Amino acid sequence: MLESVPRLNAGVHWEELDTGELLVTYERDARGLKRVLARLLVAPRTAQVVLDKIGSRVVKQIDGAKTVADLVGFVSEEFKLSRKEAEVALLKYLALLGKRNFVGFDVRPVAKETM
Amino acid sequence: MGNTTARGRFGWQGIEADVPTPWELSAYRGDRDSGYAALDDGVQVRFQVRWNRRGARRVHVGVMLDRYCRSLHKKTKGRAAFDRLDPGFLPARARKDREVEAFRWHAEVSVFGFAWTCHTCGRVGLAEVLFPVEEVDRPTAIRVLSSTEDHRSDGQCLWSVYDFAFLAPHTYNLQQPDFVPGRLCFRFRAPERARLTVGRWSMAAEWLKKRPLEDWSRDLVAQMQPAGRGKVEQCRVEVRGHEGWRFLIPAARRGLVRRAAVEGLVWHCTQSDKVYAVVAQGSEDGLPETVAATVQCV
Repeated sequence: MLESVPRLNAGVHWEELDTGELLVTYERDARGLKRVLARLLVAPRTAQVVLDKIGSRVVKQIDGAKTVADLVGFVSEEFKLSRKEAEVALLKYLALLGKRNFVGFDVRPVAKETM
Repeated sequence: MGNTTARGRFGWQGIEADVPTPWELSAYRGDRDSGYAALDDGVQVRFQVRWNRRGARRVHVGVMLDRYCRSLHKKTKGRAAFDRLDPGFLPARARKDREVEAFRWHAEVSVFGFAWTCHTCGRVGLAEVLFPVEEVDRPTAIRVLSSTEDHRSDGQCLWSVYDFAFLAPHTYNLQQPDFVPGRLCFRFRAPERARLTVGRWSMAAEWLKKRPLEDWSRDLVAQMQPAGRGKVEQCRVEVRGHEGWRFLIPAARRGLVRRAAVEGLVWHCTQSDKVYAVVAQGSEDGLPETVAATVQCV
């Protein structure tokens, strides 16, 4: 997990507000009964959520190159947390973002020895 | 004895060891009499220690090691190659006042360790330093193992995890560690029903936005169990060069019910962006100051 590379979901719109927080606009996942109800109630197809300042600073570090371990290092140094505190907090936050389909994870293949 | 509260010095339930800074507590169980603790580097366990108070029964280290070797063979299905090491593997200071036997084994990992029985505190234990097979570092193993101690001579107990270190009287037993990212809280209880809480809040700037430091004392006394009741008297003080507050709920008696005094200190270290608190109930006078003086706040 620590060597995986988080990537922002291209299907989600990210906008930085004046406050530095990130506004996330995404399509609602409406399937089955939810889809029927959404049509009946004329619910908007997109929803928005604002990430707090700390979460926004973390997400801004996701550039498709940094691994989860790199982000742990960033969180530890930026917020003066021990490595373990940073790791636990970050993994929990990334799991939350992953559950909302805001980020995905590339798992790097392990290089095989040829000899 | 090693440097008391320096970073890199691990301290838990009376066990201390100098460990590389990236190694942090990842698992623990038990108490001072019998327990286990493991430190990892974010990828795998690098140091683990088990301890037990032997009571009246004398434990031979050699017999203990034989038993461990057999269980290791069983666990690794015979894959582990186990060797006892020369007594000179650990320096003489590591063998002072205790019976020690060092060993090495490797399977998927390479391990250096030693088993001991201490003539002073009565603990028996087994400590191991683990390496990936391709990264064996014998000097580091010797450094960590030879620095492993199981008691202090000053009546204190070092608690040092996640860059947070302090000394508390050894009569105070850890009841409840409350560790969440950004907040570490140790709750202790002494045999005379005295209580001690030592806490650290990281990202203090965020916490203080919601609640200024002078309002923390009410929440801190409310978290004592049983919760402190009564009017909180507090005054501004300087703690280790930082802005802080000293607070007190005096002892009181209502009929037959006697309520112990609650006193404490809370301070904000701007350099490390952390808030620290020490709260004591029914304890000896000045305990919060004594413990606060040992807190390393950087």
